[in-house]
Order: sequence, then C-alpha cells, then structure tokens
Amino acid sequence: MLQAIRDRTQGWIAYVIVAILVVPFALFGLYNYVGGGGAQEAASVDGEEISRQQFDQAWQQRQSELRQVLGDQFDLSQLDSTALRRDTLNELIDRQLLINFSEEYGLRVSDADVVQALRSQPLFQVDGRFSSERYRDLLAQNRLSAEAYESQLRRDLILDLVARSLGVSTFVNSRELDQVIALQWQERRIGWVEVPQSVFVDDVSLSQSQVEDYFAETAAQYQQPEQVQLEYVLLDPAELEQQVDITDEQIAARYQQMQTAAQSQSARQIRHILTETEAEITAALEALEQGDSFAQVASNLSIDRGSAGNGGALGLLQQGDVEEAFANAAWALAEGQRSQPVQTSAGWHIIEVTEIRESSLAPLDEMANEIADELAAAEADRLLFEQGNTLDTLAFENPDSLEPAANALGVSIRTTDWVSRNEDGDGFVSEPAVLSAAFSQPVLERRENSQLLELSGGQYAVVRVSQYREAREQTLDEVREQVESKLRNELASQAAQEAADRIAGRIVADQPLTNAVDADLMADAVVAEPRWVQRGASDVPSGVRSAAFRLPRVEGSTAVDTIQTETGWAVLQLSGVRDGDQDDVDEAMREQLVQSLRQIDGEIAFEAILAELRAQARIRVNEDLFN
Amino acid sequence: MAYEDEEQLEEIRDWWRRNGRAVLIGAGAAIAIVIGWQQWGAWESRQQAAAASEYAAVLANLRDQDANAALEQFSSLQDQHARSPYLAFSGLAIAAHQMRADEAQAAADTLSQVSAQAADGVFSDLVRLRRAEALMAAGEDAEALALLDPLPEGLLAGRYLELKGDLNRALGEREAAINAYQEARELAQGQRRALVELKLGDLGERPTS
Repeated sequence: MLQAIRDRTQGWIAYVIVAILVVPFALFGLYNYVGGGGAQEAASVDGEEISRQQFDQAWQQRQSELRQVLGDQFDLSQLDSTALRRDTLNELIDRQLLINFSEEYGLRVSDADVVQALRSQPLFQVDGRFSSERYRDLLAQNRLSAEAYESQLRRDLILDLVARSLGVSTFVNSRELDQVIALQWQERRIGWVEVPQSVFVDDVSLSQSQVEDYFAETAAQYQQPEQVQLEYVLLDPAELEQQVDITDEQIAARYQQMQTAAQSQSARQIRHILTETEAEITAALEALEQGDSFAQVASNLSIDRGSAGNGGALGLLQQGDVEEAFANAAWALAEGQRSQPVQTSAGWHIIEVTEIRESSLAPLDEMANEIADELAAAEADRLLFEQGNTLDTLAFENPDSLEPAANALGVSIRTTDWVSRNEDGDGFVSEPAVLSAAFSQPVLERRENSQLLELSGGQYAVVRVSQYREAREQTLDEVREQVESKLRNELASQAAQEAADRIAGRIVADQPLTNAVDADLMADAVVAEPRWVQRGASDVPSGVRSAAFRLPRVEGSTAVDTIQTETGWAVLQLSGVRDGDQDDVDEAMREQLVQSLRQIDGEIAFEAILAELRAQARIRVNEDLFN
Repeated sequence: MAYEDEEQLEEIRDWWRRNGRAVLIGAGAAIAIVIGWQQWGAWESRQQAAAASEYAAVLANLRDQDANAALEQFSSLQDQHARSPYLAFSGLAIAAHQMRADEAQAAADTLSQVSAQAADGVFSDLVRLRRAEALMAAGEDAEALALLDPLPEGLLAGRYLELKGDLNRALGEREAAINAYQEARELAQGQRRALVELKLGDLGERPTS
C-alpha cells in the first residue's frame, strides 16, 4: 500500500498534492490572528485589538494611583468600580484611536523634536540643564537602551501631536475678551439690610395644636431606620499582649540570637587577588612574600577585572554577599591579615581583610525591656492568628451561635446598643466592616454568624444579629424637642421675611437705608448704606453679593430684592452698574486671562476631536469586563 | 500503472494548453499588484513626510513672525496634501497667529481655505468654530452667526452655542442670546461654564441651579 502511494506520488502529482496540503496548514496558524480573540480581547477599535492583558495592566495602574491619592481610605468596594473600569478602558480606547489616526495619516515628529523633548525632561537635568551623563545613568539603571527609550519617546510625542497642534492654534477673540473683562471686573452699587431671624425666635409662642399639626405634616422626616443589636466576639492584639508572659530565659535566648546575627552582619573591607590556576596563585603569593605590594600584584596577576585595577578592593562586604568558601576564609582573618590560597568556583584567591566593622549590640540589661515587648508582640501575633483561625472555623461550623467559639477561646460575648445601617457611632460600631456585615443578607436575614472581619488596629471579630427592629415613625413625644425647635425657627424665619419685605417697601431711591428700618429692629439689623462693590469683594456677605450681581442691570433707577441668607433674611438695593474698565486691567492680568481661556479651549478642542474620532470608528467592547 | 500516469500527465498537459496563458497572466498581475502596492505605500509615506515637514516649516516661519512665508507653505499643502491633517493644523496655527496680530479678517480667510477633506473632515467643525470667532472679532457678526448653523454633535456644541449667545447679544437679540446661553450652560464645564453663567447673569437671567 505504502509502496503504491510512493510510486504514484512523484513528479507533477507530488507537487499538486503538496500544494493542496499547504493550504490548510497555512490557514491553521492564521486563525489565531484573524478571529477567535474572544475572551482575550478587551476591546477593538477599527479592528485593532486592545488585549485583556493591556486592560488588566492599566487597571492595576489605575488602582495603585488611587491608592496613592486616597491612602488608607482606599477601598475598592466603596468605589463604583464598574464606572472606574469603564473609564480605564475608555482611556485605552482613546489612545488606540490616536494611534490609528496617526498611522492612517502618517503623523510623525522630526528628530529635532525628539531631541528637544529629551533635553527638556526635568528628569535628565542637573542644575536645570540637560546632562548626558545623567541620561545614560538613568537609562542604565532601568535597563533601557537609548534607541529603545528614544523610540518610545517618539511614539509618545506622535500621540501627543494632535493635542499640541490644537493647543498652539487656540486664540481668544478680542471682542469676547473685552466682554469677559467688562463682566469680570464689573462693579455694582449696592446697599443692604440684614434681618437676623434669631431676633424673632424668642417671640414665637407655640400652641399644642400648632406643634401637632406641624408634626403631622412632617412626620416622615422623623422616621427611624431599621436597627439591630449585635453580639460579637472580639480578638484584640493589645489585650492578647497583656496576657502573654515572657520569661527571662526567653529574653536571654533572643539576645543570644541577636548577637549571632549581628556578628554575621558585621561587614569587612576586603581585597583579593584572583587567578585561574593553583600555580598562578602560588606565584602571586611568592610575589607578595618577596615584598611586592598587594595592589601591584593584583593589577599584574588578578583576573578579576573589576577589582584588579583598584588594588584588588572588593569594598564593604557582608558574609552573605559571597560564596561560602570565600566567606569562611575571609571571616577567619583578623584585621590586616592575609589568607593562604583559597579555592572557589571562580578560581583561586588570596584574601586580605583591610578593615572590620563590628555591628555593636547594647548590653542585655539595656535591651531586656525592648526584647520583652518584641517577643510579647510576636507571641500575641501568633496567638491572634491561631485564635482567629479557631474563631473563624467555630463560627462557621455553628452559624447559629457564638457560644462554642467564645467558650473555646475563653472570651466573653460582647453586645452593642441599637445601631442603624448608617450609624455614625463610635467604638466597635464605627468600623465600616462591622456595619456592612451586620446588614448583609446572611447575617440580617438568615441570622447567621458573619465571616471573620478584619478591623482597624489589627483586631478581628465575628458578629451576629441578636435583635432586630423595623423602620418606624417615631411618636411626637420621642422627638418633641426637635420638632418644636424646627417649627420655632421656621416661624422666626417667616417673621424675618415679613420684616424684610416691610423694609423693602419703604426704601426710597437716594434716601439712606436706615430710614426704611423699623426703630425696634435697628439694634439687631445690620445696615450697609450703598457703595460700589466688586464681584469678588470679600467684605460683603456672599449671599448678598451673588444676589446683587444676578439682578438685571439698572440704569438711572434702583432695584430692590429680598433674599434668604444663612442667618435670616436680607433686603438689598441695587442703584448702579458699571462695567470693568479695559484700562484698569494691566497687561499681565490680561495675558493670564488669555492663557487660561486658551488652555480651556485647547482642551475642549482636543476632547471634541477625540469624540469625532470615536464617532467615526467601529468600536467593539467586551462587556464581560464589567460584570 | 505506467499507463495511468501517462494518461494523467496527458490530462495535465492538456489543461495547461487550455489555461496556461490565463495562469501566467494571473501570476503576472499578482506580482504587478504586489509591486504596485509597495510602490504606492512608499509614495504615500513620502507624501506624508513631505506634509509633516511643510507643517514644521509653517511653525518655524510663524515663530519668526513671517506669516507670508507660512501662507505660501499653507497653499502648497492645500494643492498637494488636501487630505492631510497637517493642512488643518497649519491653517489653525496661521489663523491663531493672525488673530494675535489683529488681522481677524485675514484669519477668517485662512480658515475658509482649509479643505473640507483634511483628515476626512475630523477637524471641520473645529475650523468652522474658529472661523466664526475670527469673523466676530472682525465685526462680521451676521456672517459669523450664519456660519454657526448647523450645530455640531457633541462637545463643541457648547462653544458654538456660547458664541451664538455672544453674537446675538452684540446684535441686540436679547431673547435669542439668553436661549443660546442657557443651552450652552447645559454643555459647558468648569471655568467655561462659570463664564456662561456670568454672561447670562448680565442679561438679567437668574441661574437655574
């Protein structure tokens, strides 16, 4: 059979068969490139793939940036992680859009631009000037070649080209600038009377029926949310530390250990001569014995290029830095002493110790307390881990009670007062982990023990709900004080408003404002006679100021308005508007305004172009990333 | 067996006599296409490089305050690289330079020459906005206003509406200005939004928020 196949597959026919076979093999590999990206793909932009791996990397980076900004408060579960992930992916998509755009149109940057960008990087500058030495050092530290770094830089510059080009092409239309200056530096002539509501609070008398009616209207505000009482078992490292006894023997043993460690950590200045063969090292030894200097012999004979030119010096070494045979020999030497030839995997050495730096340890009785604390903390740590495991296991195996766990650990079960989901309590219930566990489904609805919770200060706890009460509206008697105070304030505010309206009605243009204020209010009201005020004037109450600048322009007349303020009500009178004078704004200020307007405009333009590119592209997003 | 081979060989020869010409032409055409494609790619790359260096020259001339030389490069870009984004970049940069030199009408003219095909129209809404701003600075309010229709989609629409408000205000159309500013406020952000609020407030319109 095989012979038959062989006989027939020769010459022309063989080529035809091979040609046919080539096709599936060629296409087989193609599959990986064309389709089937599937789960590995995060998104694709006009057919260019953003891989899952790229996304994961960007997501990691985003998280660590957040961690840096938020510090200890960083808790992913508290943030809207879906939105953040989407945001991260959108950034990658924007980047890809720019890559595609710059490739399609062949955007490029010149070598001169790359050099310029390189030289202006503060990272590579010493005393404000580019230092090629620093540049080389930094690249070497990061294991980058100049070519690789420069091509990366070029790529970044290309991606930045659109934004930069749009940035330099912004301008501020001179008429708009005039308008902005006229408005921003506008002054208004205003006077005002503040009527504090506190004046009227004492005059308010409340009848029983008034309070009841008011409460009936607003009862929904006094709803008490659902609440629970909790039982819990707490493991506290500080408490455990108190329970741990440390004996003098333990302290002594630890001190012994520290001494040994200190010795092994003592560092030595060492120099050596290295040769390949025993014969060579013997020659070196003879040279030394004849009185040649160590440095001379090292430079003549040592094959360790790094040290040979340097008098054989290896620098300051610790025992762990070098091969064992070398270390044994070197640490057996006294200061200034030279070894006999020693063999290591590198060859043959003659070693000399030029300096010994002992790391010193304070005497035992000085360190005893410190060691005891350290041992107690370590022991408490171990106990905490052990007890945490026990607690976790027993609380899980007996979901309906904390007693088995508490008994096994020999601790008591503690309880809390009533707490609600958003309780702003202190102590144990101030822990966010406790409240979110207490109101979780298994703990609240199925009344099971929680998981082992990690709290601040290294504490651990398991909680369960012992009692529950539903949300309910409180009775008037429970909240009478709050209700009355609220109603009293409301009525006082009404009285203040009425007083303000009365004053407003009495204001006459060109007459002092005091003329309009009731005699009995004069002591408490704050009256400011009209004057010219700037938009940002800090000596005018901000409520009054912003209201005055929102009134329609007046010309030759006055406008009066009453507004609510933080302390009560105010009447304000506007009697003039004058636009900012272009000449009052100096050149520097004008330039600053222009620059800030240009910057915003550049950003808007870039965002708009990205949006345009996004609208034109075919973008496919793997929605699995957000589930 | 030998007989069968002979027969097959004959069939293949026969097939070649009938189709050989077509196969050769096909292969020749394929090679020509590949070579042509490569040539075209190289040509395109040269074109792109040329456009990039024209743009660099435009920027250099603007730095040297030589707007006329920049305009010459711009018109050469116009003739030879009408699809290049560099055409739009150059036009925008020259116009900004002319605006700073108080030549608003010239800036508007420059912008009107940026081909609509530049980067397949990605920049055309932006160019139109800049042109309307230049026209406003030149005092051609009605022409500027006409240019702002239709509104673009998305982010730029906020700037379009704000400019519409500015122009209507200048033309004394208070209601139209207020309407435009109010719509602009919905789309503007940050400092730009504060400015829109300022302009609205000046027309006696209280902010809703």
